[in-house]
Amino acid sequence: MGRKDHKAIGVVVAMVLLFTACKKDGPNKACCTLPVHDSENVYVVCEGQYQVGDASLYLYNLKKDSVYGDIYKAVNGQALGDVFESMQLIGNNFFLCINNSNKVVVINRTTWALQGTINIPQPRYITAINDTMAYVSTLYSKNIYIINPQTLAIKTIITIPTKNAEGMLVYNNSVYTSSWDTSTKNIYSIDPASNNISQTIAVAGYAPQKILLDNEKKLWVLSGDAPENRVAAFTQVDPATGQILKSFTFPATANPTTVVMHNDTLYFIEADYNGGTQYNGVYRMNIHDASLPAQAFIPAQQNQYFYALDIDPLGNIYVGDPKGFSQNGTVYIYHTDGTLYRQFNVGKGPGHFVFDFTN
Amino acid sequence: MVCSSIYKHVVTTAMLCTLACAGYGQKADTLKPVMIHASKAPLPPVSIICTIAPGQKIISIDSITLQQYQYQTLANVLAQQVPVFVKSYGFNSLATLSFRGASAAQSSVLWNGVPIQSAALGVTDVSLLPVSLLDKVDVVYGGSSALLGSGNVGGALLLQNNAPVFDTAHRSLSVSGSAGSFSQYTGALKMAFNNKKWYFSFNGYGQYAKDNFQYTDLLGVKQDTRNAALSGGGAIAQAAYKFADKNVIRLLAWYQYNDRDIPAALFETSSQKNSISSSLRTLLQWDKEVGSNKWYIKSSLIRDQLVYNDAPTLQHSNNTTYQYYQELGWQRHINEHSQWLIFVPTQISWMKTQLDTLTRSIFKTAIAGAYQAHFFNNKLNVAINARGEVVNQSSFLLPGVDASYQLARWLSLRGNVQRTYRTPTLDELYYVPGGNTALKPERGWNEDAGYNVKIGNGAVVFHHDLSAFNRNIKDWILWFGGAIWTPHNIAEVHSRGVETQNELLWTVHKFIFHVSVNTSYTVATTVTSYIPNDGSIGKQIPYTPLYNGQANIGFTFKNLYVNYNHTYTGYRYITTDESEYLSPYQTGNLQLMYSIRAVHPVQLLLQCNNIWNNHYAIVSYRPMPGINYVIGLKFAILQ
Repeated sequence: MGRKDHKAIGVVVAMVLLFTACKKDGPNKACCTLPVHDSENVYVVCEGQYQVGDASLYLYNLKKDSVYGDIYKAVNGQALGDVFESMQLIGNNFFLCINNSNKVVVINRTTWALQGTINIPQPRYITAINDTMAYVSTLYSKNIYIINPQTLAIKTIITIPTKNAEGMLVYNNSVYTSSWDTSTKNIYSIDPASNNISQTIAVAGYAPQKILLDNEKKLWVLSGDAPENRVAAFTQVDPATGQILKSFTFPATANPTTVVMHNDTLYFIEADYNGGTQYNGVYRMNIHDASLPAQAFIPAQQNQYFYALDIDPLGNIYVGDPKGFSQNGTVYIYHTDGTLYRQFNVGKGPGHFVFDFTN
Repeated sequence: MVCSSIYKHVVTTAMLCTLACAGYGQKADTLKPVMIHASKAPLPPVSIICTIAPGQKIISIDSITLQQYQYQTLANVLAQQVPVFVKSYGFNSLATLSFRGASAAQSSVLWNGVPIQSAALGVTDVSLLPVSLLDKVDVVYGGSSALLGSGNVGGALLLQNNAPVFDTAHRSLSVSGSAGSFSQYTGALKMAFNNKKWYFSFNGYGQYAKDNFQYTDLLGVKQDTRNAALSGGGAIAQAAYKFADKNVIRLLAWYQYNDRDIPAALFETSSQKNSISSSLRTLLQWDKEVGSNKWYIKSSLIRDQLVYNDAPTLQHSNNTTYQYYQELGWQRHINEHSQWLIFVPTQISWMKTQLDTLTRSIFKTAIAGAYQAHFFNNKLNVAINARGEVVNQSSFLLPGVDASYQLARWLSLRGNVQRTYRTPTLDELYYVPGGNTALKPERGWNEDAGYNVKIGNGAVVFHHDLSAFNRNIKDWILWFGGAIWTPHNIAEVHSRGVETQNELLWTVHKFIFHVSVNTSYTVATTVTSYIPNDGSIGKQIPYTPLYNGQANIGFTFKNLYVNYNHTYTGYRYITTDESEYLSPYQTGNLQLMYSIRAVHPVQLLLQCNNIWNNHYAIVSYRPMPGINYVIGLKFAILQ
């Protein structure tokens, strides 16, 4: 080798040394002790990324300001599945609707141990009628499944005229059922004794999705599907007569996605998936207000939208930010006046909250 | 079992040591130069980048490697032989490319110089690119938007068919077929004939597979994969006419049809999903060379249709996109030391959106040029290039410079700096619901440098190549959402890393032994974000393994070729904040090829994939098969 070759070797060695510092591969694996059941538990239903199978159940304790997740996987050693849509406490068990895994998972309220699984296609929401009967609404079909929450057996299936049974409300011996179908404005009152539709009520907008009861015993229905060009609306209905008392139509570009009732006030989320700030945030309106609120009570920032909303028995307002479902979400807790109280991180796509404040 | 485990560890350790020491590299050359039956047909000068970008890293997949995988798709070749991450959603399922931490839409695929990524999605499913239809495959690393256009951010795959030859009357005809595990069957026909004026060629294939392999479900129970059948076929036909010497017009047509069932993911109880895709790609090209000038015109029309059905979820979509591409070019050799190239590419892509039935389109036109010169006795080779492009109402200037220098007889250096960008696709802009017309193009700079060492030219030849790269992309596009998915610009992503290629050839009598190790180390992290409280800052981009590598060891003896291939893929995060991940996986693959030289030569091929029967998934909850085989036979009727 000549002198030039030695120089060249020097260059090679220098470049090799330049790139010897590599990063350690692999995640930081955190672990923590499984909590014990306590009062003031807030469960966060983390939907997960669609078609990724990373749904999870997070447990936040308001009293201790501690968060644990995924509690289902930690206790039962298996993943929940794909798209955790909702959770309902019936008796001493939680019923978890895992939408795209076509199952309802049942776990114990205090140990979170798996009690059983009910195979139901595309389950969305569960409403208990009594100790031995609960309705399960489903997506893409006209079916509502009736299960026995004690035996975990499917008792029967009833069919409604339109598909996508969604939110349900039990009131005065009737099960009011919405049908999140862009072709209909109807909600149905089903008699749980016969499982037949006893009344059909047309509301102000297409695609009814949520039904709530205010403190004056009137129904409030949220309808609409903005991405499918169905303008959203609130409709107040007298359940005794089926008459529409009043309605509020949203602007065409507004996309209200969820609503909860707290005494005489509606709290709802409007979401802008394109990252804008108009019609984006948490809104509230009194049931006696004459118009929809123009300004957000808790505005979302640019490139942010909220996905989950509820109010605990103490009046705290919980808001879930899914951060685009591509990373862990954040839950914000606000006081009634809209000031931020606390925040904590949860799994992918926080979509619902379930409060279990008793010990 | 113990032996296999030890062996795996030895191989993995060897690969990782190579990586940790980072003393090796990737080479702008072939992967394995040994051949037992290589195509001798000349290649067309379609890959401009190969002739006028001396500092660009380009890997040519040699013909013997393509022969090894002739009954499979490019997804398998790339996953097992090239340091690029292939994101495969399962066996024979959708597979996309990720070069150097770039997204699938930032990795362009060109067929004879024409971009063929889906106009709607901006990606190419490499599992639908059968090796048997192609004659040459080059892999370009790093951005070269000035020469290759929008979308060439991380790298590019260049697919070519043989150029026409017009020497004397010649005919070739071969038939081949294969059978494999999970009821896989393929059949192929290749033919070409020419005289002094005309040239015709035809490459066709058909395939069927049940793909009903066994996997272990989440409860640990073994299950047979259902709803996974694949059937399809396709052909590339070429006709060429020679007006005079170096004055040739040719027409190519590529049609392909695939009917693919999509099996259930582990979290699903069953699946009835199905996708049917069909593509027709045509190319009319005229090349004329007079003295030191060469002119060419390309005109291409592509129609892609994708029909998706999922009866239980009432999902049905039928999307058809069209792309028209033309390019006019003039290349001039000024003298023996320098040349320049100027060309004008134009691309129009359009589709009808399903819900609002409006026709949406993207119009791109550009003027691009490159100048290349040699200095110091051809030791220094420098090229500058630039592209001015108009996309709908916006315009961009994309400059670049690259160079190589022969520092010693056995050592050369290279470097490349390019501005790079990607314009949003039709779906990103107009998909209903979710399209975002406010999206900005991704843009940034790509820099890479490396060296190449080649020692020995007798019985022992050692070859080593290393590349280091750095890339900053602003306004990176990611799809976010729950019920509705919408693409957003997420500020800035910084990618950097090192790739190596190492190869030892040792000839002993009639044996040629080969050992090679390819490695890549890629850090691709979010730097800044427009999302409030974004947890992805400083975290690795999803599905970008930090470590990735392949090793080959084997020999050629007369007409026998034997190779053992081992791959390693490190952790892949599946969320932007690194909160979820997939574990590393390794596969071992054995390839054997034997040619019988006779009046009608016969080639026998045996391939055994995942020989250690590892359980792994490249994408979460999409299991890959255990050990599986392919046996193929090729019979040359005319040659």
